[in-house]
Amino acid sequence: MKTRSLIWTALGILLLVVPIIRPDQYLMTIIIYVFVYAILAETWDLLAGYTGLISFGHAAFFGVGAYTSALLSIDFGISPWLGLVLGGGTAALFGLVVGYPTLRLRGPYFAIATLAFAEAARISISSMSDVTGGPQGLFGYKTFEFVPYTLENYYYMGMALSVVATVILYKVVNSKFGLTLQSIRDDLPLAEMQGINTTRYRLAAFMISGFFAGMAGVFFAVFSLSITPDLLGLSVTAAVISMAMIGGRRTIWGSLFGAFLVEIVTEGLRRTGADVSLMLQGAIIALVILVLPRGISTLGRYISQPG
Amino acid sequence: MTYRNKSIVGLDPHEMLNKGVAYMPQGRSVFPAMTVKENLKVGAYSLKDKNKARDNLEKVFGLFPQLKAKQHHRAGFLSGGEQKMIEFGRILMIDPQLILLDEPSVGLAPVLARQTYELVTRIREEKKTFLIVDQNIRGVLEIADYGYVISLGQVRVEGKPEELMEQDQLKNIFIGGNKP
Amino acid sequence: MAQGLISSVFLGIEYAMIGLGLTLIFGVMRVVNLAHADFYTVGGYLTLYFAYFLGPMFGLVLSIFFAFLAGIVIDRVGIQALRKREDLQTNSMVLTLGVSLIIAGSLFFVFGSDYRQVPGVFSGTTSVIGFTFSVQELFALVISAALIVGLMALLKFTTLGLAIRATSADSTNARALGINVNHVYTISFGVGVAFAAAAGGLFGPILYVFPQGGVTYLQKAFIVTIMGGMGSILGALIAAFVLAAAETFAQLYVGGFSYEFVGIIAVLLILLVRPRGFLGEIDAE
Repeated sequence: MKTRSLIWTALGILLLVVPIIRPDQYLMTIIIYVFVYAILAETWDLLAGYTGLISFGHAAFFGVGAYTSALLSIDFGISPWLGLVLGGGTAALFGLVVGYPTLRLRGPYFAIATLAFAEAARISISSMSDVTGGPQGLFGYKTFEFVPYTLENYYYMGMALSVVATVILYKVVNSKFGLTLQSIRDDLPLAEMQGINTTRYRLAAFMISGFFAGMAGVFFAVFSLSITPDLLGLSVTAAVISMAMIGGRRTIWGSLFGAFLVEIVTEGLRRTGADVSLMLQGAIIALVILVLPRGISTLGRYISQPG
Repeated sequence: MTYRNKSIVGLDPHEMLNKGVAYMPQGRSVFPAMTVKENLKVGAYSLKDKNKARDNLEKVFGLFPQLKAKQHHRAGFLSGGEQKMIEFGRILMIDPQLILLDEPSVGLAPVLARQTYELVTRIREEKKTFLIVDQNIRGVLEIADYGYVISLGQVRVEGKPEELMEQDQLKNIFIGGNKP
Repeated sequence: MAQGLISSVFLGIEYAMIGLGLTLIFGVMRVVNLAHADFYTVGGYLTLYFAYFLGPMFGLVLSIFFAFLAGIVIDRVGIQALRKREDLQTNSMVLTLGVSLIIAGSLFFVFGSDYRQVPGVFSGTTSVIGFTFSVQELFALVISAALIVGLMALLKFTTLGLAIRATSADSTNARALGINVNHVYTISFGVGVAFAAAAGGLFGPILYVFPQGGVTYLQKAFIVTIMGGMGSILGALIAAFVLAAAETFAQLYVGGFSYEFVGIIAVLLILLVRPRGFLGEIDAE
C-alpha cells in the first residue's frame, strides 16, 4: 500500500512538471488525449469490468457529450463550463435511454444492441446537417472562459478533469454501491433474490459511466476546436476497449495506465512516419484477450508476489 | 475402464466409435431441423466405408420401416416414439458391438420410457450388447441380463436380474437404505 | 420503379454474400465476427494486388483462397483458444475487433488510405431488356448467385454439410456421433470469411475499396444476420433482399439519410422484442 501511494505521488508530480519542462507541443497534445481517453477507458470499465455489461457503443457517450455542449454554445451561447455538466447530463440520459431496453439482453445481444444504438446516434447526427453540420461536423463554438486557450492551461485542465473522474470512479466502485454492482455481475439471480433492484443499479452504472464519458467529450470538443460524427464511431470504441483491456478489466487505475501505453506507443510510432497505430491497437486487443485476459494488472501482481 | 482388454479412458468419441462403442446421450437428441434420413446419415459420419454406410442404412430401415416411410420428413415433426427410433437407428448406423445408454428413461413420459426399453429389447435381437446406466432399477432389470447396483461410487450388489430382485440389500436400497 | 427493383437485386446479392458468411459463422460457431467486413476489403485489395501479376480473374480466385486460409489461421490460433473459456461470444467480439484493426491497419500501411478501384474481370456495358448494365456487374451477380447456390448445396447434400448442420444444432451431440467439431468450426470460419472476400473481389470493381471501408458492410452483415434469424441461411438470404429493397426505395421515395436507418431500426426492434435472441441453426433449404 505504501509503495502504491509512492508511485501515485511520483506519477502525479511527474505529470505536473511536464509542462514546466516545456517539451514539444506534440507530446503535450498526446498527454492531453491520454487524459481524455483515460476517462473513457475507466467509464467503459465501470460497465464492462464492474457491472458485467460489455458495451460496444461507448463512443456514443463521448460524442453525445461533445455535440451537446458544442450545439448549446453555437445556438444559445451557453458556456462550455455549463456545457461540461449539461453534456455529461445528456450523455447520462442517453445512457438511461440505451440501458433501459438493452439491459434484458444477454452477452452478444447486449453488445450488438449497444453498437446499433451508437450507430443510430452517429447516423442521426450525420444526417441532420441543418442542426449538426452533418458529416463535416461543427466548429467555431466557445472555448472555456477564464482559461486562455493555451496548451499548458488545457493540459492542467485535462489533468484535473481526469484526476477528479478517476478519484470519483474509484470511490464509486469501492463503495457499497460498487460492491452491489459486482455482486449483480457475479450472480444476477442471487442478487435479485436478495431483494436488490438490479435494473436500477445497473441503470445507475450506465448513467454514471455516461456522465463522465460525456464530460470527457465536452472537454475534447473544446480542446480540438472541431468535431465530426466520427467521434461516435466504432474506431473510438475500439481504442477505448484496447486501453481498458490492456490495463486490465476491473481496475480503474489499469485503464489510466492502458490509455497512457496505447496512446503514447501508437502516437510515437505514427511520428516515425510508419502509421501502424491501428495495427498495434488491434494486436494489443487480440493478444491481451488471448494471453492476458485480465490485462497488465495481473502482470503487476505476478511481479509483486512471485509464485 | 477397459473394453476388450484395452483402456478406453479419455478416448475421443470418434475413437470409441471406431472401436465399435456407441454412446447415446440423455434426453432428446435428434436434430429436429434435419430429415429422418439426414439424421441417420450423421450417425454414419465416422464410418470411412460409404458402401457399408449404405448397407447399414438399409438395415436400419429394415428394422424400423416407419422411419423408411418418413425418411424425408423433418425429424422434429415426428412423434416422441419415432424420434427415439431415430436416435437408436442413428447409433446402429456404425453397426456397433457395444451401445452405452446414459439414463435412457430420464425426463421421459412413462409411455415413452417403456417404448425405449422395448426398442432396446428389439435391437438386442440384432446381437448388440447394451450397457445401460439408469435410476429406473425395476424397469431396466426387466430387460437386462446382468445387473450391477452402484451406490456412492461402489458396486454394492451384482447378479442376474432375478437374483437381484430377490436380494434383501436391493430392497433396502429401494427403500432408501443407501445412506452410509 | 423497375430501376429500383433492379438496384435492389444487385444490392441484395451483395448484402447476401456478406451476410451469409456472418450467418454461417454465428450459426455454427456462436462467434460474433467483428472482423467480417474487413474480409470484404481484403478480398478487394488482394484481387487488386494479384491482378497486377495474374490478371483479374486469377486475382479474384486467389484472393478468395487467401481469405479462406486466413480464416483458418485466425480460428486455429485465436478463436479455438477462447472456446476453452467462458463467455465465448463476448470474448470473440473483442478478439475479432482486434483482428479487424490489424487488417484495416495492415491495408492502410501497405496500400495507403486512398480509395482504390479493383480491376474488374470484365469492362464495358451491355443492355438487357432495355436496361444498361456494366458487364462486371452482371458477372458479379451471376458468380455470387452461383456461390450462394453452391453453399446451400454443400450444406444440403454433402457429408461436410451434414456435419456443419449437426454441429450448429447441437455440438455436444455432434461430437458424440464422431464429428470433429473443431474441424467444422475452422472450416465454417474459413468459408464464412471467404464469402465476404469474394464479395469484395466481385463488387470492389464497381464500388471502390479503402482500408476502413468495411465498417458500412459490417453493419449490413449484422442487420442481415439478425433479421434472418441469427443462423438461418435462407432467412439471411431473404433478409438481404428485403433490406436492399427497403433501402433502395427509402432512398427513392423518402430521400436524405432515411435509407441508413431502415436496417438499424429493424435490428433494434428485433433485438428488443426477442431479448434472448434467436437460437438460429444452420438450415439447408
